[in-house]
Amino acid sequence: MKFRAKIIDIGCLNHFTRVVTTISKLTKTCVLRLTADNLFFVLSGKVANGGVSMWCELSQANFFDEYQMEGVSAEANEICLEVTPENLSRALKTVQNAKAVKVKLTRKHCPCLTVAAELPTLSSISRVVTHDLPVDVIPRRLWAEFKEPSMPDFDVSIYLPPLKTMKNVVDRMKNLSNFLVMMMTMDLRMGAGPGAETQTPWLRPGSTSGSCSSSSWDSRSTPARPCAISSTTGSST
Amino acid sequence: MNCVIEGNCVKAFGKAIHALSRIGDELWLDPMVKGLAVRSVNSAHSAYACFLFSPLFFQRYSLGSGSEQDSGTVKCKLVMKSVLPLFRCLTSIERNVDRCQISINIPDDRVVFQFFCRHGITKTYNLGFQESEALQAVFASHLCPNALKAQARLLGDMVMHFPVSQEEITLSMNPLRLNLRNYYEEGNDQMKMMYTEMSLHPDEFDYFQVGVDSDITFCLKELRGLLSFAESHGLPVSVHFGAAGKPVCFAVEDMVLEASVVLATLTDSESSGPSQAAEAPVPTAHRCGDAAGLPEASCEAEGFAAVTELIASSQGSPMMNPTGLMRRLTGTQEPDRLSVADKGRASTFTTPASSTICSLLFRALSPEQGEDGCASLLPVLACSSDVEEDTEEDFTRSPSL
Repeated sequence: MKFRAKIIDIGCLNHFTRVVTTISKLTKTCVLRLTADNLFFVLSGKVANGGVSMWCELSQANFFDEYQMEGVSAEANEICLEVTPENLSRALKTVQNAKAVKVKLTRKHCPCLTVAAELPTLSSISRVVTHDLPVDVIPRRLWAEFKEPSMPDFDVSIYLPPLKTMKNVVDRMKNLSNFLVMMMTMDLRMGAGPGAETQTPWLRPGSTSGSCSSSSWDSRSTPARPCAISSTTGSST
Repeated sequence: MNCVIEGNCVKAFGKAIHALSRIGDELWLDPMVKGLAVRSVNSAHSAYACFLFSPLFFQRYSLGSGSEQDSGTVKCKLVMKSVLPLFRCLTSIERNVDRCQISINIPDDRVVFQFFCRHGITKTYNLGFQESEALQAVFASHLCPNALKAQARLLGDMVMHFPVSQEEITLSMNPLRLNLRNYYEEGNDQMKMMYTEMSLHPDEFDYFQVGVDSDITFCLKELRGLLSFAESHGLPVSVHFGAAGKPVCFAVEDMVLEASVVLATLTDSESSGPSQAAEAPVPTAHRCGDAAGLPEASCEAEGFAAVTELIASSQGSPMMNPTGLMRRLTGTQEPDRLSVADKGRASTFTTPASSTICSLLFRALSPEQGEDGCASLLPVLACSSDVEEDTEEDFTRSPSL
């Protein structure tokens, strides 16, 4: 198993750091799957019980200038690691102004993801910072859990209004209740607390830039019905 | 003692208090002719900090509080918890406080802090103090083989890579590079911790002197206060140290103040001599406080009897609360039961780690110390300054306000 990758562009480094930081807010540990073309951050939680499940696919070419990966074997050319995103986020955040950041899989006192950065300095010789993050290698027999989840058949597809607006409202609703009700007719309604289903509409597609479309029913004749109930805690990251 | 601090200097004074609060729970105020010294030490006596404000720092600085029976200035010990809240919010101090007056009221055993704020508001705080001997350590920086000087910004950038919760770090110096890495004690969590290491070239420092290649491990948390103080004033920081086990001193100075933090460093057990086997169990005996250890402990207690006068908290007991530093020293060795004979030998030649750190910073200057065999054989790594200056002071008493 071998993995070496290098980021040179500051914008890519910044973007990658933001992705990892977002993930670190969702969960303490998650699975990092490395393939020849992509990186996946996977968290298979129990959605039915209000848990968070996440599947994030990043194309390696968008971030890394150099990328070499040799998987477990020729047929299974992948590496699966259990990582702590918070450690990775912390390691990346301190090296945001680096000239180059290398990420590699190493074995120190245990299998580690090593983040090595070269920092610019006033003198000609640069500073080197190395972070060793311990990881667990996940055996092949468990890989089936981390395949891409299949999308269920959906009834409604909604283009949401700007996320910033939604975040404002959801943040305030967090104080009202643990659950949020979202309803769709020609506009999008969100409510929390008792009697949420009958709250006055707060968002109209015309005034913001959201809209709704439906793949299977005529929106004018169908009365408003709650179409999603989601937990307010996980949704505002 | 009566002094007035004006304007921006109040914020600087507050920042100094913040830095000192990272070290210990008590604050020593020592008004002297050469300035007001504000000091703190931690309970394990492994960290000491001193901020000396010269009379130029103050708008007005006068010694003597009008009470006739005192022959000299009063040295006070205050509880940090009561002083820190006065200076907690530095931005509001910067905005609102015009000047701050500090005076020592001896008859009532109070130190009075008066803040004269905007809009005619005056806030007066009367803090009780305990009269105490001076707490002071003078560290012979010029005798240290290794020295560094760097802008505070550089040191801040170095420690930024380590998490705020990181207790201890190891600094390794050789002529080619300076390395910093985090340090974890032996423990079952070691495998799962994130390791960070960084390395710098000597050119990045204003001054880089390597006398002896050494690795020193010290507590980072206690240092952060001074680094933040130095960064806010844009002052360069000088670092003096020697081999592992000897203390390290971080100092900043400018025209009106000097500040220094002296930290104990871990003794590197791998590099000590053949007396290692006898050395290591001695601290264990101290730490466990078992009966076998008592004869040794009482010998040390006598040796430190003079020391205990200086520091009220170390009442005759050579034992300190084992910190991470202490535990490391014993961690690799098995705590065997020692025979008394061994202990006797150990105390004369080797330097048991606990007593090394204990004697690290302070030594009494009372004459009886020389008579006690134990004390004189323990190495003194930093001496208290002379008390002569106290008796030399001759000042007129000014009426207190």
